[in-house]
Amino acid sequence: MHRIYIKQALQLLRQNKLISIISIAGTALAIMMIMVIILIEQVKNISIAPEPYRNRTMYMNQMSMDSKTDNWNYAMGIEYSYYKSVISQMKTPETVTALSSTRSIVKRENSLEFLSVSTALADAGFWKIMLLDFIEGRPFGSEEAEAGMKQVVVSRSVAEKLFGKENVLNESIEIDFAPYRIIGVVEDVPAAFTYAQADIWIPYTSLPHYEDYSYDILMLARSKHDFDAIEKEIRELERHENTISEEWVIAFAGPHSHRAYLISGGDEDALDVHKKANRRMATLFVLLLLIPAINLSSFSMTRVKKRMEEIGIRKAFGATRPVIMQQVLYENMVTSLIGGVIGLLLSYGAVLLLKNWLLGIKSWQVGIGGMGSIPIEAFVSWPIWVSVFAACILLNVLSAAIPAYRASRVLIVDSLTQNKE
Amino acid sequence: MWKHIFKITWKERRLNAWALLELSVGFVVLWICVDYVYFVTQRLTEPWGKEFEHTYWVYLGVKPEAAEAFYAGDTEAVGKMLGTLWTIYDRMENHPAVEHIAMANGVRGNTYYKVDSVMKSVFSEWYVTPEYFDVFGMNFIKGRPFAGEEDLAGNKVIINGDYDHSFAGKDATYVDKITHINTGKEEETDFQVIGIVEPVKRFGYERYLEGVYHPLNKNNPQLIFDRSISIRVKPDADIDFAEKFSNDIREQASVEPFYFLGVNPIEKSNKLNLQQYRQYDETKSIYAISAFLIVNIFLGVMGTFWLRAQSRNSDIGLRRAIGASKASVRSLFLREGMLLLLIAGIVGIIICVNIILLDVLGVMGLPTSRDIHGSGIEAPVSAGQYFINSAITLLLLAIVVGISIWYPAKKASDIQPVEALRDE
Repeated sequence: MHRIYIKQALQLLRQNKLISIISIAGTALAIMMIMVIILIEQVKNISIAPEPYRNRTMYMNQMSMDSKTDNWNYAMGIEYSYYKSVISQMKTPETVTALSSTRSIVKRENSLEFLSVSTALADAGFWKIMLLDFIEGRPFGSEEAEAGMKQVVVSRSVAEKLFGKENVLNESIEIDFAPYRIIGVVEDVPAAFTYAQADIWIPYTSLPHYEDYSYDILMLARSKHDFDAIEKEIRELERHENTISEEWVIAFAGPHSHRAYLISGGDEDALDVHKKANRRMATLFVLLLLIPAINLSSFSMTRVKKRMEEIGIRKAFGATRPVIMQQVLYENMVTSLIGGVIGLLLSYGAVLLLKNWLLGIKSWQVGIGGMGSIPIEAFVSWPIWVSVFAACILLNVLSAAIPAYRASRVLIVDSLTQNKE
Repeated sequence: MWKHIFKITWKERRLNAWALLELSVGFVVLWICVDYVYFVTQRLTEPWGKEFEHTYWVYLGVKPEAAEAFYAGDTEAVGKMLGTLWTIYDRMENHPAVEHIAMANGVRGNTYYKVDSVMKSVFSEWYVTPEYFDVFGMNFIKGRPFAGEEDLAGNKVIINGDYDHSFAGKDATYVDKITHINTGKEEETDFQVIGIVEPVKRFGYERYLEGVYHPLNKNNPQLIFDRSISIRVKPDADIDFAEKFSNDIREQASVEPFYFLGVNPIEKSNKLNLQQYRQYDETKSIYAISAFLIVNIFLGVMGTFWLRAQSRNSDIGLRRAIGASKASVRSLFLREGMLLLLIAGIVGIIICVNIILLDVLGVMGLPTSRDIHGSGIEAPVSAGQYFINSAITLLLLAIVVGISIWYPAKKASDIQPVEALRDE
């Protein structure tokens, strides 16, 4: 039975070429816009190297300090002293790490030419949460990091730009005029991975006055289910700090899951921002589906009107209302599916072409080696297939529901005499 | 003619209802987009109060030894470094291509100033050398720039107001004294206003804000680490200036503990800096949505009128047989489209007014153009703005509808009367 519908549907498409093209184009455009949004969501949130543990990482980057004695209150990045005394003592997470970044001047000794690079200020824990691809060498370990040894891991592009080759292990470079030894070389990190991204990685302990910087805190949980336990532990530690401190009452903003962190930027009222972001997304999807649905609906209505006679005959021969509705929906489905496939392909193209803008990557966040690639896994993951299919079905229902319903309610008598119009 | 068109439209009201719905929804969304783009474009095209053509930032790095000496309290070494800084500064000033050079130190965050008894938060506060106003071509409405050392001693300032030159609610041209309020120590300091410049923007999306300029203290050791150097280049020398200047000045400017990093055109830097504000990405999203809408309306109207032309085959054939011209058939279609658009426009405007009044956008978390940092007050949508937005939206849609009806209308008017009547 269904094959007949599909055959009929294809025939119908051929009959009125312009309308078919318009319908498919409209569907494709809507699906493209929707899938672009979902693809970007995936790229930003998928757990894949060099950030393979996004789904069980929590983030914090802000805290507030209120004076107990005066009227001072500060909202600021997380001070190193608090990281050291409070957060690094946490028991629930598997690893806790502090991360900061800056820009540095990098050059070879006795050379006048320098490179302006983005520098990640990290500790040993960084390498447990991020999985960078080492071409040679190794990351700095915890003893080395604590001792403040001047070691650096460089990206392949930095190595090639400074030395003309990528095997630069044990070479010495000057970072802001201080000599460092290269202990590792990694493949460039694509700009899409904002936390793992840098041109060079050094232990922050190797910098003078590193305690004065503020840091992003990343906590790797043993499993996603530990998130609540982690939050509880942080609140406990806050309470403890606040009772023993004479001067300050502190509070950490967060901790946030990866998705929430991206949306809120680490702000305290993450829940509110999250809600607003969801509302915005919902409005956008409604708009993207509704407008084409209105178009397609009107076309379907006209088509149904033209085939009143045929519908009447089928009803006279015993076709029930649901059967008629099914027919209209199926015919529409063919348009939706063809449009959906085209839309999906177009969305891949759009994301590949416009990745800078769509991912919100600013020109100063792009490494020496360029933008890098987008993880292909994000393009073919199951949320993508589910979303495309759901969008097609949704669009189909929205655009054919009313015409299908009207078609099924037509009285046989009226439809058979309709041609006298 | 129009009475006839009304009749036709009413007769096909079922089909027209769909088209009307789409045009109304499209109108509303497009109206909001037009409002956003108009507002942002207006902000971006307002004069900044500074001239950036032929101006460059000069970047000077400082080696870690300087910080060590500073923290160690080695006043002699620090004094020497300051001297070096100004020597480098003079060398750059003497370069033949440089017309003016200035050093400036900005105040982070905001400070509070009082005029008469009105207190205002000031976000734009600078310590500048006298040539600062020449580098940026800032016009004085009243008064004069800093002359020299005497101005430093005498607590003198130069200010700029915001729109209508207002400074803390008073017309800046009549302000001759402002009072700085140190909220922590609870003390107040009076400053004498010796000059007033045109309103200044800090960045493109922001509105004009009150600004205060103090004379730069050349002996401030902080300058070693924290200052910006800007130069204005002679127009005829501004070809490949960055490369030439860098090559000329690199050695002379790289004296311990300083090293020459490079120069950057300020215009380019300003453009790049826009990226850090949400309006930058939002504007692109708004364009994307508008394009989506326009394409959909285009497709929808074309499809609707195509089907209409088909179903009116015999109608049109009859008209042509009686003697109607092709043009009149086409114009019939066009006018129907415009009538639909007009009705949709009226419905749309009513909806838009309500949306703005009820702040639906804010509730839904959608970007409103007006809440840009520093404004404090959200600029309301003025009656005039409603009119402008509606007019632009209507015009845009009229063009889209007109173009999309053209093909079906042409097809319809090309129908041979004989063929059409045969179907009857």
